[in-house]
Amino acid sequence: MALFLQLAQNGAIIGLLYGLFAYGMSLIISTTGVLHFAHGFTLVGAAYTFWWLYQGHGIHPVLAAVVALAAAAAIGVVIELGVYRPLRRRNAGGMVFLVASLAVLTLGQNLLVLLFGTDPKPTPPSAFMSWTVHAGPLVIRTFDVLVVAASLGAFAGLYLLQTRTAVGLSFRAVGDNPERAETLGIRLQRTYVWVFVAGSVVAALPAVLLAVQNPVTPSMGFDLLVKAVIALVIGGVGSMPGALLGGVLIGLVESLAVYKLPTQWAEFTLFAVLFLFVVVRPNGLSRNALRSA
Amino acid sequence: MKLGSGGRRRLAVVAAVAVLGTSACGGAAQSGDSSVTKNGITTYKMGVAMALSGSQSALGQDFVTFVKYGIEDANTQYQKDGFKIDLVTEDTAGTADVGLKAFNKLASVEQTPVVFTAWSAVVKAMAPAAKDVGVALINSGANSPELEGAGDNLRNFFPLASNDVAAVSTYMAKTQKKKRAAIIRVDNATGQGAAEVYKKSFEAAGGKVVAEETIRQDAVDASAQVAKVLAAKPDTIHIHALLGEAPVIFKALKESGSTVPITTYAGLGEAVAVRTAAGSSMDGVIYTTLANTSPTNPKIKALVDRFTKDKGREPAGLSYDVYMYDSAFFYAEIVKALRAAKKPVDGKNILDTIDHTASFPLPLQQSTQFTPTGIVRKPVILKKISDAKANPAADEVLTTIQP
Repeated sequence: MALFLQLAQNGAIIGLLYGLFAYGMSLIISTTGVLHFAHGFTLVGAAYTFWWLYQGHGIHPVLAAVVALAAAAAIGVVIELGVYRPLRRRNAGGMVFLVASLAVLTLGQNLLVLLFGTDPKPTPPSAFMSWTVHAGPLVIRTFDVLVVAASLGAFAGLYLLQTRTAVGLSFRAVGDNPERAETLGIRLQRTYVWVFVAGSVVAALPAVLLAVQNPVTPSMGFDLLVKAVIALVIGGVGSMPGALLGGVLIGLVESLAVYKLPTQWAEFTLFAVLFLFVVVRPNGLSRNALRSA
Repeated sequence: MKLGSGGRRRLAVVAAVAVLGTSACGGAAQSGDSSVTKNGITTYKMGVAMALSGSQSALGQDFVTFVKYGIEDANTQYQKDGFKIDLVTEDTAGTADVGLKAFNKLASVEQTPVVFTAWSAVVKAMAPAAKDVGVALINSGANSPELEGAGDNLRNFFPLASNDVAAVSTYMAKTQKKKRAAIIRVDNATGQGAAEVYKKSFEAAGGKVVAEETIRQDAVDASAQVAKVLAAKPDTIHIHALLGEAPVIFKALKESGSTVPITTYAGLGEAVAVRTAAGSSMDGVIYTTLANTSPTNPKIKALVDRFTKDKGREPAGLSYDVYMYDSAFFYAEIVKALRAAKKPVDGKNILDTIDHTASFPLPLQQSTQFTPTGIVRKPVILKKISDAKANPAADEVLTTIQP
């Protein structure tokens, strides 16, 4: 039983990371309709920014994390202004956006290889991050606490943003019907820029958390991207709570699958669950999944 | 008999196919001597395929640097013999598919008669191709026991896990009196082969392997593997992974509160990137090393100083670097022997020389001898990490186990 509980805890924590990443991606997809795979580059760009400032230049980790969030927002805005907006002006189809997004992801990763090389960039563990406490059979780490806090903070922050602010309400209006939103006076282009800021900042949270815990590599974004896409399919593409729920669910499936099975079966089990969702419930858990995605 | 235009076309096609077929067969036959002689000095190509990109590149880049140092020094030493070695490198990314492309380029485009490489999955992928094109394939840094006899054209210049992993598992069972071992290994040829050796030798020494868990290369989380092996209540844990995922395993073990003694191999124990990322979670880890890298050795000290001056940092895996440096002299000795016998330096003759030479003199290892199955066996030095932040050369030497 102790093993089961520990695996469940591990799964929930890694699942929250997947969910956070999927959450930011879902926000962008639901508002713009673009399958934003370049979100993986936003994540890895933020992770490298954090590592470069904290490890490379000795900047305080909190300040380095704040700058990494800002860098993620900047990357998201540059992608929107430099890639998606020109494509939108040319009435490009969904496939063109998809290919452009994948191209940005690949180019971005290669740019990081040119700048920093391909070897893993470690962040030495600090005393703060090495803290652990035993709660019955469970071991709770600083990392776990930070992941839960970041997830709750992001969820609450985005909930308030989307229900209590004009910018947030405009995300929903544009996502629901961009033409009608425009006739109501909502400036589409500005809304797109803001949604990239919000979605990219949310992506930077798991980036910084992972950079603290593991060595940073140019390919780290792709792994999380795959998990985020699975989370979106399970949670329902375009559903924000669904993305978080999907993330936690796949984290739990991945972790609990190895309770009785060998660990190499974890991914097989995960993809089997994905297959089941695609066949049985293609809209995922959420009833409010984006119809056009 | 006169042929019509259609007949001539058919004949031309048949002739073209025959010519292409002949040239293709020729290309797939023995790799020839690609040496070039200029001003009385003959230059021989040395193909080196290492992980120059990807998560293993921290080691791979250093490996190539040490091969370069070896070639520079060997060229000085063997100048009087009228030849020099020219380095040709390719990137394997530490993976089988990229490695195979690298091998094909070295063998077919660069026409190198020999390819030195590392990483077990890469060596395994190259071994059949080496036989096809008649190139000598030398493993200078991989340790899966499956590499023994893995190909007719493969020789293992680097000792396999059947040498060092067997030594550490026997040490833990017999000297440290451990009875229940667990293994966390990377899910590829490197981890699989090492785990098999560990299990066989630990159980032969009276212990039992109670858990074995795998981790994907470059994984970002090892908490499930750690929870599972600890649930089996082992009294020692062996970790056999690669650079990307190893820090995650060490950290997860420390964070679990486990105090079970951990063992590993030089690829992790000496790797600066792993030690930096894992920090104090590697303190107390026992690891194997297959070369004397003591800073009191003046040749080692000179090499490390040279590297540190060039790169501004310590080398990533010094005991491996010893083999990389020596590999240039090993090849030079083969070339010298073939020149003396007036034989071309091609794949077949290189392999014959290895198989029929009792011992090769080397600057850092003194000498190396191959067994009839194409492997080498070396003394295994067991070291313990006192402070992961410190230079690996400062790690405590526990014992030296003779092969």
